[in-house]
Amino acid sequence: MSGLRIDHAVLADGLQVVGEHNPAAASTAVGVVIETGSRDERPEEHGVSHFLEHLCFKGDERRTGSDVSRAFDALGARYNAYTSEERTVYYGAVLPEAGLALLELFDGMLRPALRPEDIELERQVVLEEIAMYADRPDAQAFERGARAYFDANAFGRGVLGTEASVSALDADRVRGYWERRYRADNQLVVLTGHYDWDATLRFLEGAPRPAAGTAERAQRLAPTARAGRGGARKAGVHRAHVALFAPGVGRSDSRRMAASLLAHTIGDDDNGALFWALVEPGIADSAVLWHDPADGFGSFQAYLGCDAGDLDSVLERVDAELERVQREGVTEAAWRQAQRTLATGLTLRGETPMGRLVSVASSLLDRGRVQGVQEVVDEVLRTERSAGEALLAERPFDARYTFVLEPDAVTAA
Amino acid sequence: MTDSFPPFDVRLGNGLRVVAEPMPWLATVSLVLLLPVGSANDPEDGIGSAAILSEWLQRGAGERDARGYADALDALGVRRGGGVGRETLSLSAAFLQRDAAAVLPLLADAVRAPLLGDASFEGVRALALQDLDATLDSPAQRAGEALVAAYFESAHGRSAYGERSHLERLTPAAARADAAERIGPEGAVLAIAGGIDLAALPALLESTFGAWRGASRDLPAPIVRAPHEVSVPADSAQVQIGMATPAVDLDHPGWYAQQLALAVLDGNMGARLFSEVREKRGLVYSVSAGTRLVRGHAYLVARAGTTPERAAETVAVVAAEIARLRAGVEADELERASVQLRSSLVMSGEASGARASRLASDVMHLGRARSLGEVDAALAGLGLDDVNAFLAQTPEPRFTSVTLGPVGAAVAS
Repeated sequence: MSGLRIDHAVLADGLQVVGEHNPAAASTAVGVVIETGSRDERPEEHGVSHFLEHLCFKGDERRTGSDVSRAFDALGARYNAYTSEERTVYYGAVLPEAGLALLELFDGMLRPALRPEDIELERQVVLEEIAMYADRPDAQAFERGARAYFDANAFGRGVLGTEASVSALDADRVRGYWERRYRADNQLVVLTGHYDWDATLRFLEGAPRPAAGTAERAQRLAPTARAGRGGARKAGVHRAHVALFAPGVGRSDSRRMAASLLAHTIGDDDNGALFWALVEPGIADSAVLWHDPADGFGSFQAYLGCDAGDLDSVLERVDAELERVQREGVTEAAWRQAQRTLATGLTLRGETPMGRLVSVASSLLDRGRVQGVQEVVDEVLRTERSAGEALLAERPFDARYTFVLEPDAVTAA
Repeated sequence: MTDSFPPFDVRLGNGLRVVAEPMPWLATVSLVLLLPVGSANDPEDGIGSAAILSEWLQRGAGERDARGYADALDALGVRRGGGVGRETLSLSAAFLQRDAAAVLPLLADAVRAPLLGDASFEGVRALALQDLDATLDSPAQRAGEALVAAYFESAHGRSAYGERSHLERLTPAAARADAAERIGPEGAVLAIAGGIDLAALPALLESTFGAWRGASRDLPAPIVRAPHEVSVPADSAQVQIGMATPAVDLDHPGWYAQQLALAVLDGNMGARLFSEVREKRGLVYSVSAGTRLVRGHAYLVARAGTTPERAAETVAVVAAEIARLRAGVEADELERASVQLRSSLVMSGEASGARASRLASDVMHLGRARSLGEVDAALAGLGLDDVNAFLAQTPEPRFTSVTLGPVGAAVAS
């Protein structure tokens, strides 16, 4: 992994460009990260971040949606996009000679034409996506659970929106959001692998960005977390699906690594405390816990799936395990194991430019500078167990919120 | 090039085939062990035994109990994976190159000296039942299972999760007897890719996997049913659609022409299925088609999910697009498909896990591992006339199809 070079520039209009250049890589990965997501939506805009992400693939003034798709394919690109509560990310990987063309394509796409006929057609696609997730009870448990846990804050409202909210989004509303949020200074272009930095800057400096200027810095209010228990019954659901939430730390917080390691010791799907308490004896089919750091706050989250008839005993065991961990802490051996497996995972993901892309972007956005794989691995191995114990001393799981989605009486019968 | 690939390809004294491809720039190693063990060669009265064994093999080995075994792997930072299908049981692992000499003995223990203890059996059985039940809450997975069951007349139609009544009846003694008859090195493949030291490999293998003894059981020959339609009632928002039709196998001269044609059909967003079903008609969020392999037979599977009132049109458009391939593809479509497959190939050569999986699957299905160069040359050597000549002589598709969704939403194609 020698020969890596970090590139970073801020253009006149505020656009940030960052790269981790690897001359030995066989491919180039390109991404555009917009610092916007469902958390930044106004109530009447629910679902617009994700809808806009879809609509950007439907073409700009020069290209139709089919033109865009065919152009990606002609480059041999592996590409896609996703929207979260806080970020919208367009990404792809190609062979090095096609890297600049891929960047040009993304750059053009982000000034979408938003043609009414495209909006209507794509709305159907998003409504199908909402219907697809409606059929996944594990996803439903998290969607409904987050809404309750984050107590009406936009962070917990859900990324996709609802059938009603997406149906109400018209071209003006989508454009209004785009004008507010897709500003140059709210975007980061990221490159990894084998790319041409000078050509990249020349292109970006010459590219028209009508959305130059300062993005509205909407207040991202930290949600108030609710503790306790909630739930719902749903027809067609066969098992109990449990989503659990507890306070964690934010993505710029120095305790973030300790929180990840702690979560691993509790909720790793092969060897975490919950695995041995629930999955190994065959009481749950899944019992995983992780840490999800967000902007200004974070949460531990867990998922459990079990027979509806076993729900009470499963929840009792979860309570007992979390209480035991808070009381007894984590053994040195378990902490070291978490460090080692996390380090291997990071190293594996670092094998490819695509695997590096989001890590490079988020290290710059969250911590102000690009950290290489080895630096992050070193940080993992340096993070001491006492840092995990300090988090446990605050007894985060006392403030947990548990949401259960269960079969209705008919399905259960 | 084919003569010298892979650089390491040996059959150990016990019959185990080992292939390895060094990726000297990586600090990581990925390993995949494939055994010809799955629901297709489960005992007649023990369908689900392979699913049990897949889990039970990981519950302690050599001198370590389940926990000790997991701890030993985690202490070395090993990322584990694996699972069981209709024809193969897989164990996979990724770790740092410098730990290879410590990791390989542990991994070999899982097949060479698994404890298969009575104490862990009930937990494994309960988990297998949980996993089977969990499919009830995944309509897409249920439809996939139903499609394979409808397509195959041979034991390939069995679910890899097994059958409830068989799982409930299975005894530790019966499962152990089954393991003794088929958890053996003959017919199994060990594939290794990444930063491995080939010079040290023979000695390391001999002392680990070389000491593995055990019998093997043949897989049955696949038999396909006459095309028919199956409708499965489910209380869901979407209808899940699955369609299957025979295709040419990996060892057939037409394989690469078929791969190119299928990339025209469903390579990416510019391909025919995405364009016709989603982009032009907005019928679905997800639609896909691709080949599936069992030993001695390949088939094409198309999948889509849509709301009930749009199911009939979705089935019709997907079927028409697959049938239309026989009329040939256009030059520009083929060009995009070719660039895409070949770029993807280069990118798959960057990650050790992807390479190890491909090597193992090649040996399992083709009897030998293909280099990236061989596949690339085969794709590059095919022109429009070759692909269209292949397509023109393919038989008309004869679909076995499954729809899973609300009663009354069943669709005729």
